[in-house]
Amino acid sequence: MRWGKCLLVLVCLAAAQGAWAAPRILRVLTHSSFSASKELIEGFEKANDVQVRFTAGGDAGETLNKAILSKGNPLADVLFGVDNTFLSRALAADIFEPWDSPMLADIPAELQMDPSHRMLPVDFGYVCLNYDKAYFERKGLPVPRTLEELALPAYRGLLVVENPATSSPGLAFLLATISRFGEKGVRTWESYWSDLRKNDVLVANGWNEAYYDEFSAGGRGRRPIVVSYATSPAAEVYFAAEPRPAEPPTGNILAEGGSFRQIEFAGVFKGAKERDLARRFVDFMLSREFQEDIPLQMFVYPTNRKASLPGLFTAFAPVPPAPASLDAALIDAHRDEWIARWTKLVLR
Amino acid sequence: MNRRILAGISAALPILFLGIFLLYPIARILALGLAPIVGRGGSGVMGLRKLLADTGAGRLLLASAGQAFLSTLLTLAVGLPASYVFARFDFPAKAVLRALLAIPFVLPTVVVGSAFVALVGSGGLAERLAGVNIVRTLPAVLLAHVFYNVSIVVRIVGGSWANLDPRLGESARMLGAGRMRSFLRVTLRLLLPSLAASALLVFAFCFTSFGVILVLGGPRIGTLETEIYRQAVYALNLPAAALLSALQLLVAGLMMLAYSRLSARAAVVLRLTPGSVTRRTPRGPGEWALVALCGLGPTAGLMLPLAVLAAGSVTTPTGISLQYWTSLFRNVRNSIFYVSPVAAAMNSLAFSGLAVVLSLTLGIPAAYLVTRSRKGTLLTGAAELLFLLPLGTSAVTLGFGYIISLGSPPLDLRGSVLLIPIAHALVALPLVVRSLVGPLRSIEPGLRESAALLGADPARVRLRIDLPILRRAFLAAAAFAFTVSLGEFAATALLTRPELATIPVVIYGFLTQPGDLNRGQAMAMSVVLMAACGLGVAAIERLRPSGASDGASEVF
Amino acid sequence: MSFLEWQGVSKSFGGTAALDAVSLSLREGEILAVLGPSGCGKTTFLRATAGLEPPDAGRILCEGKDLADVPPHRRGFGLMFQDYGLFPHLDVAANVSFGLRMKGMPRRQRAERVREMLGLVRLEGLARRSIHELSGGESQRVALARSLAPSPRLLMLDEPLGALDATLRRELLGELSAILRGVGVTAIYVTHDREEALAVADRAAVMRAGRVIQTGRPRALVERPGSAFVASFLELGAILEAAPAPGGGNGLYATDLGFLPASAVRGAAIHGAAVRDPAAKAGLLLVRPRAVSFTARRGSTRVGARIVSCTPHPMGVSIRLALLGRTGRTHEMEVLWRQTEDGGEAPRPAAHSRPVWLDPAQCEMLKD
Repeated sequence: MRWGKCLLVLVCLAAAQGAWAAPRILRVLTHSSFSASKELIEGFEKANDVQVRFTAGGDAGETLNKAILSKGNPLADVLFGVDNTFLSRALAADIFEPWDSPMLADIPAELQMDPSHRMLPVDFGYVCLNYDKAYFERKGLPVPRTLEELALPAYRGLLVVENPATSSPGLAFLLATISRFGEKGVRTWESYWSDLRKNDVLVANGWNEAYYDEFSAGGRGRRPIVVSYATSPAAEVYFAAEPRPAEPPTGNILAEGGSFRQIEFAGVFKGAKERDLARRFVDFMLSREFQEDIPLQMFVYPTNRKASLPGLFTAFAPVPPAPASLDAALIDAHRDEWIARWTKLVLR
Repeated sequence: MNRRILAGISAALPILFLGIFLLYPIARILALGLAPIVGRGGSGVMGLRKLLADTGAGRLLLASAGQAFLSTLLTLAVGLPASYVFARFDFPAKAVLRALLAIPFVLPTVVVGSAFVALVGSGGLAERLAGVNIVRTLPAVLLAHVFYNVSIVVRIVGGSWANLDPRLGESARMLGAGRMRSFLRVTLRLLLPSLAASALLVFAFCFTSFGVILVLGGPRIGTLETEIYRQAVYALNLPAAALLSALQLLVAGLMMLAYSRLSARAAVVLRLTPGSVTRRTPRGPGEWALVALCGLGPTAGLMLPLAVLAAGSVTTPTGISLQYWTSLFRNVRNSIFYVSPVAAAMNSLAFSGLAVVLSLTLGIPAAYLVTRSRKGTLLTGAAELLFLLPLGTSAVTLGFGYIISLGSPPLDLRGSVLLIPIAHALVALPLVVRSLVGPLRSIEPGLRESAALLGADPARVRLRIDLPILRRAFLAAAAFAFTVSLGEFAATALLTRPELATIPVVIYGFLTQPGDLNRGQAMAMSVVLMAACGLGVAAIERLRPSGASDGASEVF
Repeated sequence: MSFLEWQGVSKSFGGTAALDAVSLSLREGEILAVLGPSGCGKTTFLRATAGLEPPDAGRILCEGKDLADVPPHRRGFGLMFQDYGLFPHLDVAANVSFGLRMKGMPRRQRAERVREMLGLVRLEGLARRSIHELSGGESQRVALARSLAPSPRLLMLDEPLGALDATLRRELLGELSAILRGVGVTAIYVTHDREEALAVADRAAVMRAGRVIQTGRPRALVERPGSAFVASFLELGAILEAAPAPGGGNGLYATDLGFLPASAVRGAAIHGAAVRDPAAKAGLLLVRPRAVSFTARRGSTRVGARIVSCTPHPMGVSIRLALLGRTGRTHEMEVLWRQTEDGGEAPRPAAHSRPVWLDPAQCEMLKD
C-alpha cells in the first residue's frame, strides 16, 4: 500500500515537473527560401526559454495568401517573407498587428514602407541583370550598360528574362522597366518590350529555368544576359565547386533604373498565441546579430544599418545605384493589368 | 452480424477519408472563391460567364485536354509494345528494367526539366547533334509526359497481358483469324479494361500536370492547372482560381464517369494463367530484336535523362569529382534547416511508408466496394467515381482548401506533418484501387461459389480464394503507392516543417540560389531519390511470391 | 494417297529436340491417336501441324501440298486445346460461330450452323449462356462444337478429356468418339491415356523424346508392342529382366519371379530366335494380365504376390497386384478378375502374400 502511494506521488511530481518544464512554442511561418544559422536560433531559444517551430509555405506570394486565407485563425505567431510587391495586399488583408519595435530606429526610413508598423522590413535585395563575363570576353563585345542598349541589334538573342506572370524576379524586372520608361512619351515600357521582342528575347517561366537552363554561365545555356539578383555573382563564388574561383564568373549590369529593390517584411499575426514572444522574435530578426547572419544565409542585404556586410558582398555584390521603385499601392492596383498587357505584347 | 458491421465500416472508411480530406476542403475553397459571384450581392450566372471569358477558360480547357489527350496516345504507343515484351518474354535483367521504368515517376519536375534541357534544349545533345531544340514547345511537354507515365501503362496493361493465355489468340487463329484479326478481336478486346484504366490514369495525370507544363512548356503553353496556380498564388484571385478548379474537376469527373461506365461493361472474367504458360525466353534473332526494340528501347530512352542527372552530380567545371556528394553531408551555410541526405531519405521513406500503409488500408475495402456487384449499381458507380476523383484535383486548390477547412479542432491539421502522408495517400488511392479492381473483377465467380458451397463462409472464401491471386496485385498496388508518394506532389502546396524535409523539398531548396555546388547537390539528391525509389520498388517486388504454384500468376 | 504427311519433321527449342525426324502419314477420315508421356513432343507435334510452330527441318504435306508457306488461319485445321480456350468475352453461340464469322458466312447461315453444332454436342438451348456458367463437360462440348463448326479438313485435339475427372471422362469418351466418327472428320487425338486412344483411334502412334517409335492399329500395339517402352507406357503388364538360365539348354529364363520356361515363352518367336534356341539372349519379359490366375493351373508357374488394392470394374474387379520378386523387389500390374473365369470369391487386399499362377504362354520377350 505504501509503495502504491509513493509511486503515485512520484508520478504526480514527474507530471508536474514535466508540465512546468514544457517549453513554450513560437510558431514562425516563412517562405521556402528562409534560412538562418543554427546557433543563432538556438541562442534565441535558450535566452527566451522557447522552442521555435518553423513552417514553410511555398514561395512568398503563396505563403502570404495562405496567411490571408487563415485570417482569424492564424497559422503561426510570426510571418516572415512578404515582399513589397505584395505589401499592399498584406496590409489590406489586415492580418497583422502593429509592433513599434525599438529596433526600427536602426533601419533607414526609406525601407520602412509601412507607417503603421504592422510590416517591418527585415532584408532587401535587388533584381537586376547578370552577365556572363567569359562570353563577352570571348566575343569581344562590350557589356551593355543601360536598359536601352539591350534593344540594340548588337545584343540580339542574348537576353533571357522570366515571365512576370509566374516569377517574382520576372515581375520585378517588368516593374523596373515600367518605372523607367513609364506609360507616356516617345518610348513607353510597351514599346521597349516590343523592341526586346524584336531583338529575340527569351522568356522562361521561372528563375530556375532562366538561370540554370538558359543562362550560359549558370549551366549549358546560350544566353549570356539574364534577369537575376545582385547577389547572384557573389553566390556563384560562395557556392562554387572546388577549386573555388577568386572571382565570380558573372557580373551585375548596374544599369540606371535597371534594378528593382525587393524588400522583405515580417509581422506579428493578429491573434497570435504567443504575442510577446512573437514581438521578441521580430526584434531578434532586426537585431544586429541576426542581420549580419542574413547575407550568407539568404543572399540578400540586411536592413539594419548597423549590420556589416561580409567581405564576399562588399567585393562582389555592390548595391546598385539608383534602383527603380514603384509605389506599393500602384503596383497592387495595376499589376494584373500590366501583366496582361505584357503577355499580349511579348508572348502572343 | 458482426461481420456485416465490420464490412460496412471498412467500406465506409475510404469514403469518410475522401470526404474529410478531399471533398470537404475542395467544397469550402470553391464556395469561398465563388461566393462573391454567385452569392448575395454577386452577379450570379452572368458573373460566372464573364469570369469564364475573362480567364480564357475555354482556351485553357482545350489546351489542357488537348495535350493530355496527345500525351496519352503517345504514352500508349510507347507503352503497349513494351507491355507486350514484358508480359510475354523472360529475359535477363527483366526485374531491374521493370524497377527502372518506375523511377521517372518520382523525380521532381525541376530536375527533370533540367535533364530534358540538357538533352533536347538549348545547348543540349539534340541541338549539338541535329540542331533540334524543342524546349518550351508542345513536343517537349509530350515527351516529358511519356517519360513520366509510361510505367503506368507497362504496369497495368503488362500485368493484364501477363495473365492472358496466349492460346486464346491461337484458338482464334486456328479458327481462321489472321494475326491482326486475332489480336484485335481477342487479345485487344480482353486487354480493354486494363488499357482503358491505364489510359484514364495517364490522362488524369497529364490533365492536371503542373511542373512539366511550367518548366518544359514555357510561357506560351498554359493549361487550367498552371492558370489556377497563377490566379491562386500570384494574383490571389480566388474567384478565378475557384472557377477554373471547378471546371477542371468537372471535366475530369465526367471523363472518369464515362470510363467507369464503360469499364464495368467491358470487364471480362479471365482465368489467370500462370507465367510458365504465358512467358518464355525469346527464340531467335527476330524475337530478341523485338525485345530490344520495344522493351529495352523505351527503357533506355527513359534512362537518358536519369543518366544526365547522374552525370551532372559528378561533373564540375574542372572535371569529374565527388565533391557534390561529399558536400551533401556538410552544412555549407550552417543553416538550422540543414537536412543530411540520409535524414532526407529517412523522411521520404517514412512519409512514403505511411502513405502506402494508409492507401492500402483504405484501398482494399474501396476496391471491394467497387467490385461488389457484377453489373454495377448506383452505389458502386458513385464509389468508383469518388475513388478516382483525387486525380482530377489541383494540388494548389487542395492545399488552400486545407488551410481554411482544417484549421480548428477536431481537425486542426493545417500545420501537421500528418497532412503530408494523407495528401500522398489521397493521390495514391486511385492507383491502388485501379490496381486491385482489375484482378478482383477477373476472379471467376465460380471459384468463389464453389468455395462457398464447400462450406467456407464469405470471409474465409475471401481469404482462401482471393488472397493468393490478389497478393501480387497488392504488391503492385503497394509499389504504385510508394512511387507516387516519393514524388513531389503537394511538396509546396502544404505547409511543411523544414527540418522534416523530404528529398524533393531538399532538391528544391538547393535550387533557390545560383552556384555549381547547389546545382550539383540537387543532381546528387536526385540520384539519391532514384536510388530510394529503385530500392523500394525492388524490395516490394522481392515480396512477390515466386513461381506459379497457386495457379494464379504475375500481376504487375 | 495420304491426306496428311509428315516427312522428317524436326523442331528444337534451345538445344533440346522436341521433334526428331518425325515421319507419319494420315489418311482422310482417319483418326490418329498420338500417345506418349508428358514432354515427349506430342503437343509440339500438334502445334507444328497447326502452323503455330514452324519446323526446323522436314515438311508437312496436306493433299500433296507443302504447308510451309500456309499460315495457321489458312490451313483449315481445327485445334482444340486442353483448356478449351473458349473466348471469355463471348457467349456460347458467339464462341461457336467465331470460325464461321472469320469465313465470312452470312448471319442466317451462321445461326443455322450454330444450332446444328449445338445439337450435335447435345447442348441445345445453351446458346446465350455465358461460358463462365458452364460445367467442365459443357465447356468441352462447346469447344468441340466451335472447332467443328467451320468444317475443318483436320481436327486436332490436345488431351480433350484431360481436364475432366475420371467418371466424366469415361462418359464423354464414348460420346466424343461417336461424334468424331459421325462427322467423319480426319482427326489427330493427342493423349497420354491409352484407354482413350484405344477407344477413339483408328491408328495410334507412340512418341518418346521427340521420336515416333511405333505406329499401328491400336489392337496391334497392344498385341505386339515393339519395345519395352511401348509396353510399359501402355501398361500392358509387369516387365521383368530375364536372362537365359545358367546351364541353359532347357529353355528356362531366370527372372526375378523365378524360372520361366522358354519354350512356352511366346515372344521369343518375334525375335526370330527359335523357341528352343539355347542361345536365346537376355532381355525384358512382359507378363500380361491374362497370364495371371488366382487359382492353380497346369503348366503355370507359381509366384508370390500381394494384393495392393481392389477397385470395382464394370467387368468384375480391377486388382492392383504386386508380384513379389526374389530380390525383394515388387512388380506391379493391373489385373482384371472376372467372376466367370476364376470362380469363387473375389480376392481382397491383404498384407500377407498369396500365390498366383503365371501362364508362360501369355508372357513374351520384348525388344528394347
